[in-house]
Amino acid sequence: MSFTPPEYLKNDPPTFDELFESGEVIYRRHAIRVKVPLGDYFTYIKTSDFLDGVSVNRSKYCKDPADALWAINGDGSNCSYELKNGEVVYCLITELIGPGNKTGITLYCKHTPFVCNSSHTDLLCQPDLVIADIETKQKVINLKLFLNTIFKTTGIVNNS
Amino acid sequence: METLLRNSHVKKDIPTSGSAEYITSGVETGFMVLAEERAKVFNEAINVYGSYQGSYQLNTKLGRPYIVRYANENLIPETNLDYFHSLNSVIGISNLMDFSFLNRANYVKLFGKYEEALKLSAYVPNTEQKMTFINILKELSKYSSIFDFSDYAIKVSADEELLVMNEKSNGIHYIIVGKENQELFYGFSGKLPGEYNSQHYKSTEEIVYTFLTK
Repeated sequence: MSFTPPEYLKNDPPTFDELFESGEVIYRRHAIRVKVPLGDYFTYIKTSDFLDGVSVNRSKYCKDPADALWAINGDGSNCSYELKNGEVVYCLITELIGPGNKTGITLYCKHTPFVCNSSHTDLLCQPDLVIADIETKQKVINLKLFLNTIFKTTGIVNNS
Repeated sequence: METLLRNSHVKKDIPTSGSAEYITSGVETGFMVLAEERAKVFNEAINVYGSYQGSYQLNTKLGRPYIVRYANENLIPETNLDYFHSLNSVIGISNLMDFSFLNRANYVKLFGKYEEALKLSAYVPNTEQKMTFINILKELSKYSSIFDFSDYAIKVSADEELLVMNEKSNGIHYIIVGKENQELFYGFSGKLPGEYNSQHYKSTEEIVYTFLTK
């Protein structure tokens, strides 16, 4: 199923906006491989994804949370989208970096817009995770559990 | 052992030689007379089984310890008091197999969930990870008379960890078994922001106890 992104998502050439406002929300598509209880979203994110950046949409450039259900085909420049199965979860950016994060891992957002998705943002962690020892693995588990507590479901689901 | 379990409805298959002797009576559904060298295992089994089901008693006859299970279905609603189960407990107590199989039916249910989780994932756990996880399931099945396991979920995470998850009113509790040796974690993800923690364990018994009681 193809999709032409709305005008507000187009961003050609991409312009970067590193200023995140306090009330901004990020949205993420959560693939429902199997039925999972509420709050289990980040169990299924690989640790390496945090190093490369977990893709999210930022609300400043994304008017509809359901936009997160669409994935870009190809290299991101041809504006061909595919509707993915899953549900949309969200959290406030302030909750990511607020005092609730006692994981020992600093999280931050980096705006990385595509031509056809101006809201695309990477959720990254710092410092880089070296996961050779038990202590760091425990930190990674804490990071995932932390994200599970702050991301909430929007109720938008695509099961088709 | 597997053959014995499958044929366990046949009374003649009960081992009667060696240090074990099987006795039945009209009142008791079955009990095992155990030799003294088995007493330690037996007492351990009594601790697990006697305290959880409340219908087993430690007794002595001819100077030797034995276990009695009373035929009262009200006391043991979930076991149906079938002969198979009786034999299963006898096998467990006599140390012919690990007595964590005492409630084999519940272990099988958990193992079924584990197999389902593996089917949904392309990941094949290594032997060490598999054995650690199976030990977790065995340990959990010991407690199945007092904890409801029907809501437990067993999954494979994106980092190829094997998970047991239980959603309670206060949040989600996890047992996480990683790919490498000693990667055994208990995790808790609460419903309030900032309410989460994980802890590393070395002992299967300890992590299961924490998982069930927190």
